Amino acid sequence: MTNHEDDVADVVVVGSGPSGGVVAHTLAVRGFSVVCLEQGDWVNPTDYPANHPEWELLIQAQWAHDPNARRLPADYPLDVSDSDMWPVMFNAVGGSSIYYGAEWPRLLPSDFRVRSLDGVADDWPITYADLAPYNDRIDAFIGVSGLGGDPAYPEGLDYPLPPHPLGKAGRKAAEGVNALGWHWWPGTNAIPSQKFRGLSQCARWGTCEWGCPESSKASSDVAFWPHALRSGATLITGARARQIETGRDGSVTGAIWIDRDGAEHRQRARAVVLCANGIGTPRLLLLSASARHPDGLANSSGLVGKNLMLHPNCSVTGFYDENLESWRGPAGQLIHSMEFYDTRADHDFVRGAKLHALPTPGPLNAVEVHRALPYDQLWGPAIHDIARSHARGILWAANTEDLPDEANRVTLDPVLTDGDGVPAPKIHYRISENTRKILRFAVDRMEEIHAASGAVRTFPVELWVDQPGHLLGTARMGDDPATSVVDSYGRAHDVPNLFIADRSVFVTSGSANPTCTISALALRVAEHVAATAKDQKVSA
Amino acid sequence: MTSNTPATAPARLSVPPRFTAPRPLTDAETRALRAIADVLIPASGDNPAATAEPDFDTCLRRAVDARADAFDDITAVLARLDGAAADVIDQALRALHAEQPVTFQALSAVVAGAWLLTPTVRARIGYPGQRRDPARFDEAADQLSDGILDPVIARGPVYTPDGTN
Repeated sequence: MTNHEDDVADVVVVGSGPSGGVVAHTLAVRGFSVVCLEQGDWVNPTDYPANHPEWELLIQAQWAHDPNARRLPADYPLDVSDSDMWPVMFNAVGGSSIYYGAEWPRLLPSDFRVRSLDGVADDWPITYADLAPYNDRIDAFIGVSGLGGDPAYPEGLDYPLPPHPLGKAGRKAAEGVNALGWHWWPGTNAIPSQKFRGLSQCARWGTCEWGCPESSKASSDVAFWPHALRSGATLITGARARQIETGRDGSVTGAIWIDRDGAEHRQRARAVVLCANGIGTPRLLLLSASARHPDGLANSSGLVGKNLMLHPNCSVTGFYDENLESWRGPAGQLIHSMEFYDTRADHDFVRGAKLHALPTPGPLNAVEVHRALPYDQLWGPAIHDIARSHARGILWAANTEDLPDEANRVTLDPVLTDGDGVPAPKIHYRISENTRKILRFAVDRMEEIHAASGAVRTFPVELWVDQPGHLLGTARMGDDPATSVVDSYGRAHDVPNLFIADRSVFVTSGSANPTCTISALALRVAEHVAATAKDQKVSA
Repeated sequence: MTSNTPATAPARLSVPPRFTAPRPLTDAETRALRAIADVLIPASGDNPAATAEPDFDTCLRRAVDARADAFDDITAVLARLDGAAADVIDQALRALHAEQPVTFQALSAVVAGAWLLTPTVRARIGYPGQRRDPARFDEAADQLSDGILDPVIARGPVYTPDGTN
């Protein structure tokens, strides 16, 4: 039995992560009635593992990044049996930004023109210059910390707050990059270096990727939702959307959702905006197949779920002779390097990688890094020196550009279901040869940096199997309905009152951490929804 | 002090319940785990063995709780090694490391995690713990003021124009 909500919302938003928070706030503040469905609930700053001395043990299982390991009631399982990597996410108010590092680099101009510049993949239907004003407004709203003038970007890029201190680890990393003559710049982070609106000044806990106990990281729950709620948006937690409904004319009429007790509800709406991430959004579109949309909603192109890009990560952790105070945050990026971001003629691959240096908080985490050593070099008498190394570490990590491939995709699993019996997503993903070359190249360059900085021992990891949190491309934007799912404003080509505002719409992945771009795109989508609202109607 | 928190608080969807082991370790299990700890973390030079740290047993209980997900695997190992001599434990741990890496990871993480929780070890290795440590207002500027960025700035723009301007 489905409970019918009498009110027709102007807009239903599915998902409360960065894109959902931006959309809800942008529309609510303009007077639209907004109902957001979030399958998780609130997480308090006092909940996070860093509040406990044993935090390094807590993050190994119960607070893991991998939902298949965490298995909380808000999580849904992922079938990764046909995937080279295990995508990660967090399901709560704030979405996966609860667990992101808040690294906040914009995509570069070349990212929007990969077909034109490199002859591969596709161009975006918008350019760097089109998106930059939205980036600027998001940065100003949440208080991004960074240093203007980065020569990796066009002139004029600046940030509302000063950068974080490099710290001893950041300076050591920068010295190595300088010795090689490569680009680096103080890290840009969505972590206020000074108190900003409702966000506290960063207190450098160093545990950004496992939740900020200080509420000083711009996760959506604290950066956008307080403003959205004060503006009149309604947020329903424990609300798992299982279907977007359509009327006789094919337009959407609202969403069916399941509450925490298993009861079904129908929320009618004049428009629906999906913000459920690059796996959740195609899953919901495929779940919403109907007689009029037999292959899934908005899927006349056949591209819903396809072109999944996961930004494979690699890293080299280096340990040094001197005390670098590596427990100190933010983490967050201390510095980044765009030296190898774009295609180069002398490389045997196209596109490239963004490199970033982070501290290495926690002595047990240092022990875990050293597990690559033979038994006797870690355990027994050696453990005492290994434990001391925690203060002497630098993590260099890289996002690699992941080119779109239709074979990499999200489908509905024929067997696996979530806690409400709704089919779970199945991930089909293989790392391309081009990406593998970038991964190897990036590891070699990060080894070079560590050597130039004077590292005494390094630990390369060519692929973080359980750590692609960047879930991109599964409902790509474009001008041609035959080759894209939505237009450049996130409007579904097939369904005029259905929008997608999350990372599903990425055409290419770039190698910059994506939340900065996600938030700017969401603002652009939301303002378009508002501007065209008079065109929306409720289908019979 | 009173609390209005209901005795049966509603289940939280996005926050795990505080882990606790399904039962306390028995005396025999604790004895075996302590013996394992002193094999993995023996005395060396000025460094005491794990169980010589004053608060090790308290921290061990906390660590076992934190990895309650692996409780059955860990206690199975403890049952096998109850009363074993150090050299037997050493060989068993090496075999576990080679043949059951997931179990070895959990067991050794609990041991090392407990040891690293003890205040004496934290002081010895210079770990203050994760804590509030806000930066001074001018700290970032100070750390850039010696010209460390000058070579990057001197090199000039490094991005690829997109050809749209």
